[in-house]
Amino acid sequence: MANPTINGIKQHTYDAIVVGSGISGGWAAKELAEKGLKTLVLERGRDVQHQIDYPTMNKMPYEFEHRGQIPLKTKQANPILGRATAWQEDSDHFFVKDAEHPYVQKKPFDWIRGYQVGGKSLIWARQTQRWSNHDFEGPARDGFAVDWPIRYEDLAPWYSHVESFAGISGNSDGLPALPDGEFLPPNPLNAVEDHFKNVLNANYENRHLIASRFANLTKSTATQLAQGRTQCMSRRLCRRGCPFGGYFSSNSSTLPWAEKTGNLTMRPDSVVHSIIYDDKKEKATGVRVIDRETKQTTEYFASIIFVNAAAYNTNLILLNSKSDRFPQGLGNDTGLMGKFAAFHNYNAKIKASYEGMKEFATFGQRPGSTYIPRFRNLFTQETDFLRGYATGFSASRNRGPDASGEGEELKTNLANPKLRDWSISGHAMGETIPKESNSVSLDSTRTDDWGMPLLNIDIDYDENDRLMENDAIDQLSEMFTAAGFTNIRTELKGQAPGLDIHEMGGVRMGKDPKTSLLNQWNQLHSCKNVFVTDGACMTSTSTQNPSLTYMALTARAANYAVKAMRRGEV
Amino acid sequence: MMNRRVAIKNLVMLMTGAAIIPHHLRSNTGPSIRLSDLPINASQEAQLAEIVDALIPTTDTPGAKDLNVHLFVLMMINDCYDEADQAVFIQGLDQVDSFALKHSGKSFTHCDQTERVELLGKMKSKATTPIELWSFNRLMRLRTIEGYRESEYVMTHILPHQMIPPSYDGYYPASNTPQPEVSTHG
Repeated sequence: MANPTINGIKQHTYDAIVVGSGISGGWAAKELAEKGLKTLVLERGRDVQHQIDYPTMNKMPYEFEHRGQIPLKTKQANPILGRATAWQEDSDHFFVKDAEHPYVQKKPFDWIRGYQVGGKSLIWARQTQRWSNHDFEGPARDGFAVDWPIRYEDLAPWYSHVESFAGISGNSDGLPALPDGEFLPPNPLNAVEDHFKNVLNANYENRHLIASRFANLTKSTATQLAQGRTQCMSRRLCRRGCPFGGYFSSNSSTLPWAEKTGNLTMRPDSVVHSIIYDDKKEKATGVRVIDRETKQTTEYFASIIFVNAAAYNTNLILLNSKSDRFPQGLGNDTGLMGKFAAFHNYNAKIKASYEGMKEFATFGQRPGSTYIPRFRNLFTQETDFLRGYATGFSASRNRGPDASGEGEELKTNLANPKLRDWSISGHAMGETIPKESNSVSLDSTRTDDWGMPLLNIDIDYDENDRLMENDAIDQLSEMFTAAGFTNIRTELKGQAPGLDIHEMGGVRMGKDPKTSLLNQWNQLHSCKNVFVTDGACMTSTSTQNPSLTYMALTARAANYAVKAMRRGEV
Repeated sequence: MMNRRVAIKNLVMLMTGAAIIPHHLRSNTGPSIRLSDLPINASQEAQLAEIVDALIPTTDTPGAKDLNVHLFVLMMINDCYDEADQAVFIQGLDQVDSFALKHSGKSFTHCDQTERVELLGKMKSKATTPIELWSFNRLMRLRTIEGYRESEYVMTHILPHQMIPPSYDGYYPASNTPQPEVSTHG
């Protein structure tokens, strides 16, 4: 494209470009296309069509050569990916292999990625809890990062908007830490989970066990049926892609919806190199793309650009978008870009047994489990660390194989699975404090196969995280003891940041262009036709799984962008 | 017994189409399946087949050998273990006959099923079993049970696998005996 003809430019011109087709990019595509904008979605990975490209979705266990396990040589070749529990023989094709896309670990960081149409929305954990003002007001109250430029009230209608469309199951629990939403029927709790819930209610003012809110269709309403998605069958095989569209993904929901408008152009295999900034027009005019296969460079043009490349890749693209006006990367006048990155701390785990409720077992499967919203430091500061943690909890008592004996005895035992004891587990999900020292940056010398600078990732835990994870162990042990659980085993996993797959920050929102990169509408302060609405925009991390908030922020920003464009503001 | 075994084996082959004819029936060379790393010969493969057959024998339904589970075990040892574990597995396999000789006065293949079952039970004792043989038995047992439970035959005829599980009941009476469940890969 050294000398693009007028025709060539026209053919490559759209109203909007969305970089990335994962959970937030899919939402940008849907909202923009629905509002009538000719929208180009650029995805660096291969195409994955709903159902058609889920090769394992209906396979029986015995159809997998290694019965689900990843062979040793493959594991050894992928030490980072090997730590991701969803990476199995049946989902192998949806994960980036270590050697394909290297990065620089200044400190240990497990960067788990899914480069394909739909991104990680195919393989996500589907927990979808709203934020509350206890989260949005956190930085201002506790004096870290910068104040969010929005509050819960700004996002609430957009949470409703995305929940109704995606299909989120849950109860209206009436809890201050976790606002209610537009819910499909909740997941049922079992006997021990109800017992634990009652114990928490009896012993604590502020600790509530609820059915976790999940992006699985416990019921398919007209809204999801119109998307061709039917009820979740509780197969718990989501990572393969779902033949029923039983969980929300870009592939099953937002992208086909956008396509139906006739306004969507999907271009897989398009590695975005940078965003093109026009010094004279003082705005971004398009993006530069390297074809994944041919490595040829092409340019595409649009009035507005959404960057949804997945948090740290969004940082990478923006930092690599250098111009005379922005020598440090697009919108990065302050040098803040890439800094104040953060994640969630999943180190604290707990397991136990229970001798009670022996008259009950669990039978069948359900897509979700249970959740205790943050209780620590919720209303006032009460510990020697800032913020707190949410807790995932589940109990089960299934029948499993009895593998005792040899010969005919063993064979008979295997044919007669035995009822096991109650098995109980919990894990904390801790808020981490974004810090300037936790950062991503461009490597000054090394590049990948497409000529993109490698990303340096320099992120670590801090003292606050250590105090918090120890508190989680103490509090969970105390609650488990109060519930009469026995054989309590706690563990601090000591896993590297990143394995949470909740990477956030680097292009944070804020009120002041001197201390933040994005405004209250997710526009770059200094380049208003570029919007960042994936994990990169997060000012703080809270304790909720973040995807639902990315979806709501994206829908909100996209609707604002359309209005701003029609008003001639961008 | 033999007739029934052959009949069942033929039945299984018809059903699965997995008509693998072991090479060792014709020559004592390599194993009947391609193994990239595991240095194993046909007679070792035949010995393993006898062992898995003893662990999960043919009855009125096919046993582990009928279902070619020994080949699954070899494939898993080849693909999912490192060189050191593989070496111990083969050393242990080679110790089976001397262990049988010591305890039963004859080689494993010459023992009857009762004696074989006793030997397999004895191998579980870490104190009285050579460490390689103990390790072999542990691995063989784990992978044989896995290969048997997750074979097409067992998952369709013994414990039918339900791709769509029954709806969830968190207060299922423990005294109920449901249709046996096979755990899914969820």
